[in-house]
Amino acid sequence: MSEAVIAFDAVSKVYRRGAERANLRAALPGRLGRRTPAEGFWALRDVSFQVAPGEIVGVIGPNGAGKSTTLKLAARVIAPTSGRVTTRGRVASLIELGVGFQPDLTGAENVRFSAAVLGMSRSEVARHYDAIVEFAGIESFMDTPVKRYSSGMMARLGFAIASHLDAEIILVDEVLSVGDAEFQRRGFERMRLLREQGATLLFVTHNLILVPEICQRVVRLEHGSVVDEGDPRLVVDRYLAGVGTSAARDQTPASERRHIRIRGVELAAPAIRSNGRLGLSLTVDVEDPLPDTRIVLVLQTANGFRAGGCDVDGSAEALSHPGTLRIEGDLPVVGAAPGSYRVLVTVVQQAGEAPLEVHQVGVQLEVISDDDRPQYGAVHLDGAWRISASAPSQDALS
Amino acid sequence: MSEAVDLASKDGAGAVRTAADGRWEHDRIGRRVRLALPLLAAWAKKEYNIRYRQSLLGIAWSVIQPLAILAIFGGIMAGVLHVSSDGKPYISFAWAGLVPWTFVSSVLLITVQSLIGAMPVAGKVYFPREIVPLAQVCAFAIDLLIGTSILIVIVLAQGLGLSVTIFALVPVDLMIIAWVAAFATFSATVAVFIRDLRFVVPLLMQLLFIGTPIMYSATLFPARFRWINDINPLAVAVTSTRRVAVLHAWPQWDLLLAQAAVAVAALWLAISYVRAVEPRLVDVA
Repeated sequence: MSEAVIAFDAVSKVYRRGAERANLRAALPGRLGRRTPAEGFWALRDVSFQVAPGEIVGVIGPNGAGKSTTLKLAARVIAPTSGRVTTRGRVASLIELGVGFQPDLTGAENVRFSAAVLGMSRSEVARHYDAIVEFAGIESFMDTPVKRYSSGMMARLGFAIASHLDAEIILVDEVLSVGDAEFQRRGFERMRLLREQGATLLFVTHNLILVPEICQRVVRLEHGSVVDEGDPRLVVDRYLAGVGTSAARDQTPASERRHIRIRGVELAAPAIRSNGRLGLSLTVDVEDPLPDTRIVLVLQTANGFRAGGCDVDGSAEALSHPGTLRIEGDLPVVGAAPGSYRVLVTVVQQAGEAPLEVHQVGVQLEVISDDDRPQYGAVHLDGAWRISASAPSQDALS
Repeated sequence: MSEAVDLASKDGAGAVRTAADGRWEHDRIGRRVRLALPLLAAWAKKEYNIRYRQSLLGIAWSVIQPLAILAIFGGIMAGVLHVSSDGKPYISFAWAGLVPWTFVSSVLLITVQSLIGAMPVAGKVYFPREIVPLAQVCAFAIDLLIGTSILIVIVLAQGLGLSVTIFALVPVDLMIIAWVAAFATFSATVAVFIRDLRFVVPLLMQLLFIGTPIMYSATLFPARFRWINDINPLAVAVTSTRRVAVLHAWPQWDLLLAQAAVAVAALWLAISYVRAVEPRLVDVA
């Protein structure tokens, strides 16, 4: 019987708008205090999803989509305005690293307090204490007040506590996005380990590269509703394909509505080999041509750097007539290091010096390599090295 | 479902928690308190550790505060106004009143802000919210113990001697702790909704200080107003402490037990109140 460990059943959450005056009514216990705000902001509207035991589910979506509200509801920090939230098992809420840290207390004191807040019993803290300190790697600072810590040390200590929690349900909010690459890698490994131990994770993130690697399923929220759900890679791709659209639409006044849209970007394969060829096809609708417009293709690394880019040859001329364009490209991607990238296709209008983004669509691309030597950065350096040992030079000695 | 219930009996592990339509299923008070005890202990320890961190005199402040009141008010009362101290040395007499008073005022003045101040944590992790004010009560109970020990020293130093009645300090202090726990829990929670309480509590404390026979004798009250001292838990604590430590008499047991019973009921009510409004606390704060 694999009953859902986290179940959201038609959950809505309404917040009152505006700054509150003293809320006399809410202070009353029972039905009286529970009145739904007449006019409120719907942080979540009719959200239903379930998480099975041992599953890792990611929640994605733009800012304000209701991701954090979802997590807080699961954490039992807030109650749904309507609908039902059910959790089965001990919940560890990692909505923030180092929750409850007191600047004046030492690292050791904070470990004991924060761990207790997160639900660890005293014996569990005693059992895990050494491991936590070792994991954080700051043994010599445990008697120092944490206000003297660097933010990195704080984050490491917070994460060390978090990852030693022994809970059936773990709620994670962007915790991995702080800290350096090494820290992220360790956090990532820890999450995999937790999954192997059978924990269930609900994981809110903006890091779309990480989502398919960690999660088994993804729920995508937008404006407080579930708009997509399922296989991580597919949901993320559909999200990225839509990101430019909805964001741009929201910000563009009706009078400046773009009349050139990228209907879709398809890659011949979601992954290519290092130094392989990237095949892609685009469909672009030109309803109303704009002057000085062209299509630009950019390869972006996981951390947002531009690894390369070029114009789509002939696109300026093609975009000057109404109609639907089918564009196929074949690009040798020379020298890209293995890793995750985004292919960004953008319709750009040159307005004087500044190129204006008319419409942008991004898709995920993996560059893979048989060469398992580590690669750092976006450029693939394939070194041929020759090392020889020679006796110390006589000249240098004399 | 039966499997879930079995799991739920193991202290939180496997517990099924449901929140629906603006409220959530709660544990019964007894179970709730039992599950909260480990965190309460850790939180109390934190409050105690943090209170005098980086202060020069540290825990000595818990004695300096009442000493200052004794010096100033006591000087005026005994030295200038020659108030009655029931025929006993004034310092012992007044200190017996200042020990419960210092406990009540320090806890209530601090706890009214405590839950508001804990919102950064409460907004991210669930725990029974009454833990926050109750941890302060526990942390200050140590100060109460220190003050009581000093009372015994003063009584001995003034040559009054001790009698077996001194053991009645235990139920007296437990009674006032229960009352303070109830008030602290209630005021800390209401203050989240109605912030005005932060300004009301200091005012009430001043009235309580004047209206309770702390620096003066209860006999100053006109006979027809004496009942006020019977319903005022602090007055009962003060007069009882005086009786058992200074006058070597047993407390008025009927009054003490009645106060203790009402205090426990009030604490139970206060925790029930927190439990009822808990689902809205973070939204409002």
